This record gives sequence, structure tokens and C-alpha cells, in this order.
Amino acid sequence: MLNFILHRLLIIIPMALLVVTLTWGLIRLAPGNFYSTEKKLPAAVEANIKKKYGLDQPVWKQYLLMLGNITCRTKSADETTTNGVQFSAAGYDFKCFDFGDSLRYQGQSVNEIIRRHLPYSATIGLLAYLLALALGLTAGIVAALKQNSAFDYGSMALAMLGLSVPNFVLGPILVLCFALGLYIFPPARWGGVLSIVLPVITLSAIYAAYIARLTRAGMLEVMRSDYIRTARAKGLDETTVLLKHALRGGIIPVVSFTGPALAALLAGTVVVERVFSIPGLGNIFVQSVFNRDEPLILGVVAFLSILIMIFNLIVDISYGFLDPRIRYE
Amino acid sequence: MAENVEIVKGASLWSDAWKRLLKNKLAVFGMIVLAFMVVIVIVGPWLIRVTTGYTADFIPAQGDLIKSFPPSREHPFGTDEAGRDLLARVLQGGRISLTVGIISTLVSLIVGVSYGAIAGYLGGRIDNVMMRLVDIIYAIPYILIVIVLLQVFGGNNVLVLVGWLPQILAGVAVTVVGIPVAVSIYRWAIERMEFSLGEIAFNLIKAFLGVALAAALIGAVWGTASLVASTAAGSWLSGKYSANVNQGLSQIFLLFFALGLVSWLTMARVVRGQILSLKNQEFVLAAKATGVSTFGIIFRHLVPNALGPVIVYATLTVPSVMLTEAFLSFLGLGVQAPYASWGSLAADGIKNIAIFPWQLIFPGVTMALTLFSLNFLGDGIRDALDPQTRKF
Repeated sequence: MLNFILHRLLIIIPMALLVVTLTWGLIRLAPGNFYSTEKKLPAAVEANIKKKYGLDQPVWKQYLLMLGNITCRTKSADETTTNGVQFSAAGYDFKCFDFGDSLRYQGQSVNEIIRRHLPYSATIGLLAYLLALALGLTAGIVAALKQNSAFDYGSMALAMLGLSVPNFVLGPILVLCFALGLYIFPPARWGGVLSIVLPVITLSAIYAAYIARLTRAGMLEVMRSDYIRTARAKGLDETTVLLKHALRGGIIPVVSFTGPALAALLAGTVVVERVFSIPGLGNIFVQSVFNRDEPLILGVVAFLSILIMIFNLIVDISYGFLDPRIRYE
Repeated sequence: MAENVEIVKGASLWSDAWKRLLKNKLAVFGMIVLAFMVVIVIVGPWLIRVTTGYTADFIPAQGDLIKSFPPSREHPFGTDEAGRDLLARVLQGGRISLTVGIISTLVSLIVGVSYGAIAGYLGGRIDNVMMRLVDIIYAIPYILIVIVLLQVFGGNNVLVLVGWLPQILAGVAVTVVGIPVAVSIYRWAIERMEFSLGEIAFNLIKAFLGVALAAALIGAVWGTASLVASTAAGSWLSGKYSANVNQGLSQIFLLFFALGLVSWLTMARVVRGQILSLKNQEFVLAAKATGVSTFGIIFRHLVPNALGPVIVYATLTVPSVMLTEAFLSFLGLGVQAPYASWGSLAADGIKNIAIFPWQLIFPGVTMALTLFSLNFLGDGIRDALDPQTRKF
């Protein structure tokens, strides 16, 4: 088990580097660059800009410098940056995880921008997933237990609706009804508990729908299996059978959905942050891509991909606890 | 022949599944809505032009200061900010949204089925390498990379990409030819050496040979691509491409590419699993014994037998691809200005939601209805083709 975790943690490093390399390659392969505007720059100015950002050096050197900045490299004497993690060992000064300064937001480091904007996205994303879990699990379990009842059909039709309405349609419609029509919630902006309600509902709808369907299918399959019959034959009461035995096996599909869901949650937050004008990381990422703000793009891509891979690892580990038949060697 | 003998045609898997599908009311509902949507999206824009004279990009020359009109008899869906008929635009956008969904699914079908079938049938080390590659691409949060890809190569830059088309095609062609050649050289060389060497030396030589062949292959691909780029014919071809190409359409093709890039992964896994369970059966042995080639066994005998799950998965891919397309268009990265898709129409509509809500609601509801029926149809097909995994 420990070996498995270590192995997977080690794999994350080359994977994240691969993602960063791909992104870097795409940005560099495309024609044009971040400093070119409609007005042609004087040659001296352009040369200065190129020198400042190291663009006058050969491509492989730029690539290595970029890799060194985002992982670890020795710090030269004339560097004054305080970004990232800095420490001294064996007579050298090291600095790690320094994503550099944003090109568009002058004087702000990428690390700082991520730190400042992450809490918004994390709050919405986490609350939305929790809400989706609560709604989806309840609906799925009840639908499975009362199979072919009105509740079953009703909740599954609702789930299908949740899967089919894109969140950029659902969000504005909710705003139209509850903010502009009934004046219950604010239509946009961040601040106060009330302003979170609509974004969280919008974001959670599709996951609640998925989770309800997965739970129902999983529970129906588990309820017919032999070990449930054994548990009943042992004389356990129905609640214990349900909560202690059936649920553990029944929600495995839900757990494995969490991995893809996290990646999709990322796309979801981008939309929701746009619709509700929330200054979260998703919005910042899209802005940085439009601005061609290379350090910020690379920083956010590296950060988010590592985050997603770690969550995926946690998901994989939790299988072992849920289903005793799954073993890792 | 006695006249009272009736030839009873045995019910095939497909006719059985079709009957089961027709019994599923929701699936039939989905099928009808979808058929209606496809027909109206194809003939609708033409019909509107003939009856009212409006087209998707017809902007009235003069008129009131505010050009957004609510739904009326003249404009059943109202008009958009510039005064264009929204119904015509929604139908035009539906063409693009549905085409994106279908073409990306076809790409995922072709690539995913061939990839999964080859990996599953060949097995061993090739299977291992191929599926590890799938795992790696799977773990990448691709939406980030797709956003970057569409932004940096979108707009004007898409023409540069089109200019690279000859090189890219040459590279792909060399790869397709090169891999089997390299594999057969490797096998041939190993069979020669097997008896004469010790195990360690043999493994070392095998590893060296593999690396050398891979390097040669990469070199050949790179060399061909740059050769094509450097010759007069290559530059003439790429110049001709970029001169004649339509920027908006190229952007849509870039979108196909970006969406198709990842949607084949799950398909490859599904097909590989099927092939693994099929390849040890007697009919494969029989085919081998009668001298059918590997290619023939894979695509004539194995793939048709794995078609059920493939169809099920493909029908469920269409709505998910359409949703991703709408998401990208909503961000302004997908379908661009003269063209419209449901996603970009919704993005336009959201700006004026408080005053002109119909500009969001009509494209949004049309899209939701289409996805709704696609999902129902997909569920129905799964239940019909796969009664065992049917959710009771």
C-alpha cells in the first residue's frame, strides 16, 4: 500500500512536467508573442523586452530556465525575487516553485495571484461537490430502494434534466428567477453567504444528477449480491445491512466518478465564475490565456494539474477502504 | 416443396435490440425529437429564407436604435442585438453544434476503435505501451490544454496551422508506415540472434535496438516533415491552402481536432476490453487457420463482434462532446463570429439577460432539449443492446 502511494506520488512529477511542457510548447509554437501589439515596437525596445524575459537565448535554454523556475534551481547572486520556496543547502541558495511575475498584472507574482484567487474557486467547488453528494446520494439510494415508484421515476427524470441543461444556461435562468425576479439573492459579485447560493446550485446540478444515477445503479446491483443476502441471513437489521454493507459497495462508482468530476469541476467553475462575476482561479486562467500571459498560464496549469492528480490518487487509495476485495501491490 | 412450410427468419441481435428499443417510451421520445431536430436544422434556414426572407446573418440596414425585438409573428424567437432573426440563427447554430457532436464522435470512433482493437489483439508489450499512453493522456487535465490550444492557434493564427498541413500529413503518413516497418525489423533481428547470445547481452541488445529504431522513426518523421516544408512543392501547397481557406471554418476544424483529441480514450479502453475477451475464441482460431491476415482478423472478425458496447458508448459521447463544444464556444474559444453555435448564441444572450431574456432562453432551451433526447436515446440503446447490464 505504501509502495503504491509512493509510486503514484513519484509519477505525478513527470506527468506535471509533461503537461507544463505541452502547454509551453503550444504557446511557443504559435505565431506572435505577448508583447506585440498593433503598433510596431521600436527595435531597441523590442530587444530590451527580449533580453528581460530571456527571449534572446536559444530555445532549449529558455525551456530549461522555465523548468528550473517552476521546479528547483540555484539562485544567482543578483536575483532579488522572494517568490516560491527559498532555502540554503550545501553552500548554495536554492529557490523552488517560482512561477515568475505576471506579464499583464504588473508587479504581481504568479504565486501571489494563485494564492489570492484560489479560495474563491475552492469554496464554490467544494460546497458544490458536497451539495451534489448530499442530493445525489439521497436521491439515488431512495430511488434504488423504492424502485419503479413515483419517486424513482421523478428523481431520475430530474437527474436526466440536470445532465442536459448546460450550466451556462441554468445559471442565468436562476439569476433571472431568483435575483432579477424575486430579489432573493444577489445576481452577481462576491460577498456574504447569500451570494454563494446561486453559483453553488448552478455548479452542483450536473454532479448531483450524475451521482444520483450512479448511486441508483450501484445500489441496485449491490442489493442483489450474495454478501447482502448473507448479511440479512445473519439476522442483521435492515438499517445495518443498508448503511454498513450495501452502501460501501454501492457508492464505489460514485467514488471513481470523483476523479473525472474534479477535472470537469474545473471547467464548471470557469463558467460559473464568468456568469456570476466571481474573481476565482478559473476566471483568472481564462483571462491569462486571452492575454497570453505566459508565466500565469504555466503557473495555473502546473498548479491545477498537480492538484487534480493528487485528488485522483486519493480517490484510488479510497477504493481499498471501500471494497475489501481491491488490493494494491 | 410443400407449400405450408414457412421459413422462419431467426431474430438477430439487432432486430431484437430494435424491438426492445421501440418498447422504451423515453427512447422513442428522444428519437422523435432528435429526428425532428435534425430535419428542421437541415431545412429550417432555407425555409425561413423562402418564407420571410431572413437569413442567419441578415442585418437590417436601418431601423430603431434598439434592434432586439421580442418574439413576434415575424420573428418567432425574437431578434438578437444586431437585429438578426434569432430563429434562423438558432437553426444555423444547431447545424454546427450537431455537426461538431457527430464528427468528433466519428473521429473518436475511428481512432478509438482501431487503437483499442490493435492494442487488445496484439497484446503483450505493444498493448502495455499503448495502454500506458492512454493512461498518461487520461490523467492530463486536458481542458486546460485545449483552452490554450484554441486560444493561441485560434483567430488569425489558424491560417498558420493550415499552412503546416502538408508537413503534418507527411509526418502522420511516415508514422503510419514507419511503425509496422520498425516492428518487423525488430522482430526479424531478434529472431536471428536469439540462439547465439546469453540472456543479459540479448536483453541489452534488444533494448538498444528498440531505442535506435524509435530514434530512427522520430528522425524519419521529422526529416520528411521538414523536407516537405523546404521543397518548392511543399511551400506552394501550404501557400495555396492558407490562401483559399476560410478562417471561420478552419476554426471549426480546429475545434473538431481539439475535441476528437481526447474523446477516443474511453472508446479505446472499451474496445480493448471487448477484444481481450473475444480474441481467444474459436472463430478467431478458425480465421487464423484459414490464413486471414492480422488486419483482417482485427477489422473483419473482432471489431464487428464488439460493436454493441461501441455503439452504446458512441451515442453517449455525442451529448458530452456537444456540451464541451458549447462550453468552449461560450468562453469565446470555439465557433467564431460569422458562424454561430448554441454555445456562442447563449454567450451572446447572457449579456442582455435582464432586458432581452429570449436571446438566452431560446438557444439554451433548444440545446437542452437536444441533449435531453440524446441522453434518453443513449440510455435506451444501452438497455436494448445490453440486457444483462440493464439497470433492472
